[in-house]
Order: sequence, then structure tokens, then C-alpha cells
Amino acid sequence: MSSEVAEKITPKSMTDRSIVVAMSGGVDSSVAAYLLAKTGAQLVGVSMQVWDYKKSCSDNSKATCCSPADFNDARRVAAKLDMPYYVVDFEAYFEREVINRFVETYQLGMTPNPCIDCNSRVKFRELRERALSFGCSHIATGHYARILESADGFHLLRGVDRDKDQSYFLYTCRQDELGKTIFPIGDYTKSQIREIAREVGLVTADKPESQDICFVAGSVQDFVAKIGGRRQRGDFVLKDGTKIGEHEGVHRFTVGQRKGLNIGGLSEPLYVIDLDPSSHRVILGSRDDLKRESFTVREMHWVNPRLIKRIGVGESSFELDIIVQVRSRHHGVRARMKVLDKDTCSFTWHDEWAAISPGQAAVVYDLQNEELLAGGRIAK
Amino acid sequence: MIIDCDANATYAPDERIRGVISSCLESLGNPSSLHRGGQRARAALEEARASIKRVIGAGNRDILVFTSGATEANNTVVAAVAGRTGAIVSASTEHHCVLQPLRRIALRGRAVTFVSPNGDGVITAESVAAVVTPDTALVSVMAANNETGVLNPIPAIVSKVREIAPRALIHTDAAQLLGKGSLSMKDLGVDLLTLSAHKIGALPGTGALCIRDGVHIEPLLLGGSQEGKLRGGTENIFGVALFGAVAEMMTADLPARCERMSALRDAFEEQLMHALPDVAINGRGVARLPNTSSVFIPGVRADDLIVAMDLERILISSGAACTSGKPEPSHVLMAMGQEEERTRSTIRVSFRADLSLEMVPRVVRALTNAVTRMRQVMRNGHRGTYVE
Repeated sequence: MSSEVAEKITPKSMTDRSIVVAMSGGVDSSVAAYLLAKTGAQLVGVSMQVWDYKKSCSDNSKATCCSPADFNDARRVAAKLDMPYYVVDFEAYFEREVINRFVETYQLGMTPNPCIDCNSRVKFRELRERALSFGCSHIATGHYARILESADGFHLLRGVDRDKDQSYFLYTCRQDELGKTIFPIGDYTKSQIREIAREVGLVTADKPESQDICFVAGSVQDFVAKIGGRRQRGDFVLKDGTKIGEHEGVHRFTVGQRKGLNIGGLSEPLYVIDLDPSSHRVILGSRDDLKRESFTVREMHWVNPRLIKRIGVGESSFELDIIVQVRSRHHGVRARMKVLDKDTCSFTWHDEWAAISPGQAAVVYDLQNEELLAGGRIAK
Repeated sequence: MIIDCDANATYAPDERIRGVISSCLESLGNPSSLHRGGQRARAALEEARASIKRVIGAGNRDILVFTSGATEANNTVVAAVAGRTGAIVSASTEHHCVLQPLRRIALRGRAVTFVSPNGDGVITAESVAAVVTPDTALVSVMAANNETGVLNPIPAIVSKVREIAPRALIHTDAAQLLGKGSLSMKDLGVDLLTLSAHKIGALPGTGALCIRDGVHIEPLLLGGSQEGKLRGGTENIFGVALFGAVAEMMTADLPARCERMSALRDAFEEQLMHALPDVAINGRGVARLPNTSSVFIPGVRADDLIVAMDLERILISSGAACTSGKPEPSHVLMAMGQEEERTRSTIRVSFRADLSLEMVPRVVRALTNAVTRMRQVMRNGHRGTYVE
């Protein structure tokens, strides 16, 4: 939906209570709500019921966030800030758009990033649509990222706290979405956020950090096996095909992985350098075997307004020096990006290189490593 | 100002009720104590019992047992027949506090038949008679449905059942009927009748089971010899005293209350159908509670509508109350043969007797605005395919 439509269907009488705040029950979204409430904005707190932990884990208490107990925390924060609060059911939608893709990607021998799917397919579409239904024009989340409005459009920047920056997960945001989204905590560091929460007396102030993947309570591998329902043992092999061991299934591995292989007695450390789901083989090699001179990224999303314009007028085959980040916990390294068409780019490393995992997001930043320009999925 | 159109969930105490709360506090004490503190509590307890028996047209020798609510009363009925032989007949539109205990004993091997309603939501006497046999032990059919407000023909059901199964116990859950229509234990002809206090403006956590003279049932809760040994546990004396006082108050002007509620409901339905011609009202052609309107609104999600209305400070619901954020489709509407999608687009509006008629256009306007907005969102930003 375009922003004009959002504008039109938001009656003037409602403009003073037009922000839906996504609340997980954690400290970040709690403080996000507090910071907005302080500005006098009228807010509507929403928690998204996305996953029934009983489906994947017998022990509900292991849930890392978005459990009923977390919602009660969110409810208490909302009550303290005197804002209405609702739990909204997204389960069927989340299962289809996030969980199923997560499991399938692993089974294809690739590494998924469910947080990106959740943002692009659930938060910035489904939640935004609900917000519009409720008569709210904007959504706010507790992401560590910043949005800067300028004459040519909206720019997505890394959060001030580089250790916590979550812009990587937001590369699918479109201009109309950025224009209707607020990241209230992007200008703060995590310790400042905790400090604010303690000062204000929010019940979530000292809650532990949530884990990487919110819907997985135990190990990712067990989750994939349980939900995916397929377990196929296979061989560990070296590049030349020599079998050196057996494993419990390719879904348990990620390209670049070194730990947890349980193979010893070799002189140099072994890495997963490739996965072959059809033969159930996990191919191992040295760190140098992970090196790719260049790699291709598909399903490109363009975020920076200038690049959107260049792509929009059909310009292709241009090259840019950029910083590319290839995992969520990767600082980003310099590379040359060659735009092949609006959906596809290839990347060539400058001097430093990083191990890449097909399926993961490659996210492009400017050379200051500050503004997110574009992103896509690393091709196999 | 909040416009409360969710009276079937709970009836928030009005000013008159608030006025008697402090006098009910006076009665706090343990009715089993011998001293004057106990005597005062005991007197209040028996006063309330007599009031409620009068209000529901119970006979002098009928027994009224106070419980922690309708849920306990209904569980007591099911537990009482669980130890006997003979099949059980109930309805698929019952409240969960009848359905769930019956499902449990069915899982343990007991024959339980759930009669389906007709398309209007009515459990007819014929459909009950069709499954009752001479050895049926219990027939339980609610007096009025909480979601649709549809009334079941209890006297007709009772006379049919008595013909076929003279020894069967007949129970009705009248939690929603109390305060919204004439209620007479004698006229209904049932053996057991369930009541809830908070549906008329008294406190949640208080209810009662009325047992016809001559009917013997085992208690569910064992403990002291309270309530004629039919329900162990110190009586909730404050809740019971308020229940009695509110029941009396409410009955004094029941016909006028019902008239006011049906005026609200009729105005609401008429104005809504004018504003949104494609809505459909469940059970509109049959006898219903005067305050309840179950409305199917095509093209919207009921749960979103509840939020949008709440933001306008207007309280409505989507059938049974749900706190988990994971609403199940209405089993009542499903039992009526409706598609799940339709049940998820159905709201329940249930009026209080003290709402001003002038508020109805406001409710209809807010509903119409929200529905129009949501349909626009649905059209423009279709779920999943996010159209620009």
C-alpha cells in the first residue's frame, strides 16, 4: 500500500494516536514505547502471537521471548505508560511465511535468516496492515537502527550502538515502509536503554537478552528435525570425496561452520565448505577452501533513494565500492559491487574476505559503513 | 467515556449496585461460627438464598447451593452424574464449562451426545427427543446462548424428555438468562439450574446451583458441612450477599429493563443494517435475549474490529472472551453450520440496560467507520501479496 493511501484512510481525528508499537515483552521495545509516550504521541501497544512453543518444545519455560509470560510483561509496561495493549494472532501467517521457509532453507543445505523474513513479511506488512485497520498510520519497533529523512527520501542507517545494530535485518524495508516506521531506540546504546528502563522502573529493565531466533527454544537443529520431520544421516567427506565420518543430517550444518563437527585427529582445523542435500554429504576443508573470489546475490532490495532511482530508470551494469556484511554478526568488509540487473549483483572482495553461506543475506553499506544501501540473498 | 456493549461478558456494577456494596461488607464473617459475628454472616447468607430463590421462582423446598460461579455449578452437575449409569444428552452450543467436563467423561467411555442446533442456533425439543432414550441419565441444555442470545425452548424440551426418560435429570445453564428475561425454575420444569452473579452486576467468583426438591446429587467439593453438605468450603459471604441484593434490585424492574435493552438492540440492528446492508444477524428470526446481537460483517476480521472499537472506547466482543491472543473460531457458530471464515468475521454486541439510546448512533457510526477502513485496507494491502 502506498503512503498516500495510508494517509487517506487515517481520519484526522485519529492522528494524535496513530502509532502501533510492536512490543515483545523485552527491554528494547519497552523503552521504545516509553520514549514515544514521553513525546505525547498516542500509542497502541501490540504483541504478536507468532508461535505456539508446544509445537516444537515440550518445555514452555525455555521460550526466549513472545511467550505468555513475556506478553504479561509487555502488558504491565503498557499499563504503566497508560496505553492500550493487545495481543494479536499472527500464528498461521508466521508459520507460513517464516517457519516453513526457515525449515525448507535448512533442508536445501542453505542457511536461512528468519528475522529478515519476519521483518519483511510479518512486521512491515501484516503488522502495518493491522495498524492501518486500527486507524494508526505508523508502526514503531525496538530495532537498533535509524531512519533519516532527506529531500530525496528516507535513508536507513545503522544504530548508534554498533554491537547491537540491527539494520542488517531490515534491508527489505521499502521507502513507503520507512516513511511510516519509527525506530525510537536507534540513537541509544544498549546500556543507555537499560539505564532508562531502570530509571523509569519498567519491569523489563533487567530481562536477559533474547536469543538469536525467537521461536527456537532449544537447538536450531532439533527444531528443524522436529518441524521438518525428516532426518537423513550422511557422510562427512573431504573435497576429493574421501569419507572421514558420519553426521546426523545436512540441516545441522552451515557453510563456514567449524565448531560441533566432532571430527578429530587432523592436523589443521576443518570447516564446512559445502553442503550437498541430494547426496546428504557435508564437504569439509580448510579455511582457505571457503574463499570465493566473488559471489552472486539475488532477490536484491534497494533501500537508498539514489540507488532506487538509478535502478528505477533501468540503469544497470554499474559498479560501486561498498562495504558488504554477509552475516548478522559480521562487521562488514570492503568489496566491489557490480549491478547485473535490478535483482542481481555480484561482489568481488577488496583485500579482506569473509566466508559466505548461501541463503544468508548480503547487506550493502556505504563506505563509511553507516548507511544501508541494499541487500539480497547469497546464491548457491 | 467508555461505551460498554459487552454486557454478556460481565455486567459492570452500576451506581445503584455500588451503593449497596458497603452494606454487604457488614455481613463479612464465617457463617459457621456460633458467635454473633457468625450469626450475622449466616443471616445474610440465608437472606441472599431466599432472595435468589424468589427471583428465579424456585419452590420453598428447592435447594439453592452457592458456588464459585457457573463453571463450578455446571461441573458439579456433570460430576454428579459421572458416577451413575445411563447416557448423557447435551448441546454443541453449550458454554465450555459444560462441554469440557462432558468431553472428559466421554473420553473415559461415557456415552455423551451433543445435539446440533438448527440454522438459527436453536436446540429444538424434537432434536433432543430424537436422541434421548429411557435410560438417559442427564439432559443439559442452556436457557440462552451467550454468543447469539438465542433462547432454547426449555419447557418443551423438558416435557419431551419426561415422556421418554422419566428418571433423567434435566439441567439448564441459565447464566445468561438471569436479568434479561423472565426466569422461573417452576415454569422451566428443570431439576437443576445454574446461575452466575457477575452477569447481573454482582461479583465474578459467585454463582449458584438450584436443585429441585427431591433431587439428590453428590457434592463436587468435599470439606466442611456448609451448604447442607452439598458444597464444602466457607461461603463467599460478601459475594453471596451482593448477589442476593443485586438479584432483588434487578428483578424489581425487570420488564422495564428488558424493554430498554430490546429498544437498544433493535435500534442498533436497524441502523447498522441501514449503514452496512451486507451484514447478517444470527438468530434474528427466533426468540433471543433482548440485549444480544450477533452480527456477521463480511470482509473484516472480528478481532481487528474489537481493537479498533476499543480504541474508540467502545467495548464489543467476538463471542466468547479470550485472553490468550489466539482466538479459536466460535464453536457456537460452527455448530450452526457456518463456515469458519464467517465465524471469524462475526462480532457480538450485548447491551446494558442503562445505556442511553442516544449512544446507539455513535456505536453504529464507529463500527461503520472501522469496517469501511478495514475493507479499504484489505483491498489495497492484501495480506501476503502486498499490493502497491
